[in-house]
Amino acid sequence: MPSEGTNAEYPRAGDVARSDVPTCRMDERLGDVGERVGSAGWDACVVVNDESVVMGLLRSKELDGDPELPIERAMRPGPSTFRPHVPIQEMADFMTRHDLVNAPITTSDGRLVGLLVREDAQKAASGVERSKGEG
Amino acid sequence: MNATSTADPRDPVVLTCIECRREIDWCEFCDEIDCGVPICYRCMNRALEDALFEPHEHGA
Repeated sequence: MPSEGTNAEYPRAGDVARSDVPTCRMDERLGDVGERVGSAGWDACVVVNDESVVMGLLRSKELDGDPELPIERAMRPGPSTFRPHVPIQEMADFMTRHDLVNAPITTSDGRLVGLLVREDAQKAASGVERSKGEG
Repeated sequence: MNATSTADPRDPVVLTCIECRREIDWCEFCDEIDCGVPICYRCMNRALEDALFEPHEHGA
């Protein structure tokens, strides 16, 4: 999306979101997914369908569930998702106030762009604040 | 003294949006029913979208 205006040079949610977040399908088993996610160094996994549309989310609480559960029953269904163009400062501020550790970033038709991790958002937002202070 | 509660744990939790005071079932930002700063879908989108439309340098 082309950006213009005074904030055009500042990062947005889609720029900071991690596109390498692990994903899984609804018909997988939680134990298998948890193993894969853990060995990749993550504590979250986005549940997607064949078109990469976000169907659910597994945060650490869900990943710690019964390993025999199918993902469909273990996941948080229909999590709130956010658009890539949202300024990173807004996302960082909201995530801090709501104590949200991560948030899925999707296109308007629900396809996964990446997972925005709160620490990344806060770091990027601090950078923006510094840049604005210098300007 | 033991604290007692008359609240029925089966009662649905009703939250109030911190912006417009509308009653909501859960916070639209974090999806939690025990959020301390619950916000409704409309107010959340307005807050996030408003941040996009700061004045341009050329004033348009």
